Amino acid sequence: MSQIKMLIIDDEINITKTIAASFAKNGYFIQQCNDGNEGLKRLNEEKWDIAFLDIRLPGIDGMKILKQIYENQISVNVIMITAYGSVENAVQAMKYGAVDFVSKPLEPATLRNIVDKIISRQHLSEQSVIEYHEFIELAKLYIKQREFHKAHDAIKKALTQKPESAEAYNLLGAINEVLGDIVAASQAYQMAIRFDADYQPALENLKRITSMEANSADLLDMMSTILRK
Amino acid sequence: MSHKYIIIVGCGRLGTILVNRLSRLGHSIVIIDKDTGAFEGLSSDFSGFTIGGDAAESSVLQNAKINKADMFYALTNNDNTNLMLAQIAKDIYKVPFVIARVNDPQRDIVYKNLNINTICPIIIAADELIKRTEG
Repeated sequence: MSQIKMLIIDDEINITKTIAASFAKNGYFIQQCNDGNEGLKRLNEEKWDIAFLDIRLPGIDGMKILKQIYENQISVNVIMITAYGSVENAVQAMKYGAVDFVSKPLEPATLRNIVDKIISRQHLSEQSVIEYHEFIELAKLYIKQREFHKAHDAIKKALTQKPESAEAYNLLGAINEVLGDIVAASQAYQMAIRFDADYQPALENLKRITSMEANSADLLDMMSTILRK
Repeated sequence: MSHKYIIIVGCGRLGTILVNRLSRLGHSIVIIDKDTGAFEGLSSDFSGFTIGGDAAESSVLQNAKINKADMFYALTNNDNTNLMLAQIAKDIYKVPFVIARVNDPQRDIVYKNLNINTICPIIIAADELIKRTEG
């Protein structure tokens, strides 16, 4: 990427200010808009490298914008901004190719870290990747490209490097959900929790899918799989 | 200017004036108070984050991302609360720089013995008055 172009779509002044201040020294081109409709218009009109997108927005909400990005095949790396301590809608967002999240309150170190990862992720290729964190990043790159089977394989390889990683199991669960395999998703979330009982994203994902209105066939299938263990 | 991530508990008169000024200096601020009405005193250009909740609950401190904080100031009007919060920030979350406000000057020495950095507005005011008296 040459000069990095960032669009911040958020109506809260503390968020736009924190993001702008975090990247002020990097020489990035940063623009902001505080309304969903305007944000979508700008995403359609111009090419952006990174878009910070709040889930709650006046005009169109963040999830609907994400759906439009997916349907209009806009190539942008989206970072979703979620509420305090929340990882809501992560799987839904992933279906539309968004894999990076930051929760409020935003702080500069995390923001810079996530943007650095996104930028360096673009250069990864299956052949060059050997380490755990590279496989995770490769999986995220595939998710953005909606290549979910490839993402699944990359996560499996990450797990061979670090079999006790709650993060990798949680990501595996989410990919399985996107692929429609609820049983495998639930097992992956359980593994994540087994290795890290406090890992919030996996706890919330498991809570969400177990409280979903599963149809009875799914439920039976899930129970028989669990009982066979 | 080095940009710091600072968590402050207590949005009373001291907390309010402090976060308004720190925010203007460009630091990232999270202010926590049980009473969300307390945030009404924040200036319109305050660009930090507010969290309504009891900082003594670990979920509130975790939501504030205390593990990422460069600094933690416990500024409530309750000395025991401030001491406990400062100890949590320092010992559990390893925040590099922690300060507890001490409202009762007689307790200041006790806190110092516990290895907690303190600030006592009354002692500071007294020191300042002595300085001015002595010229």
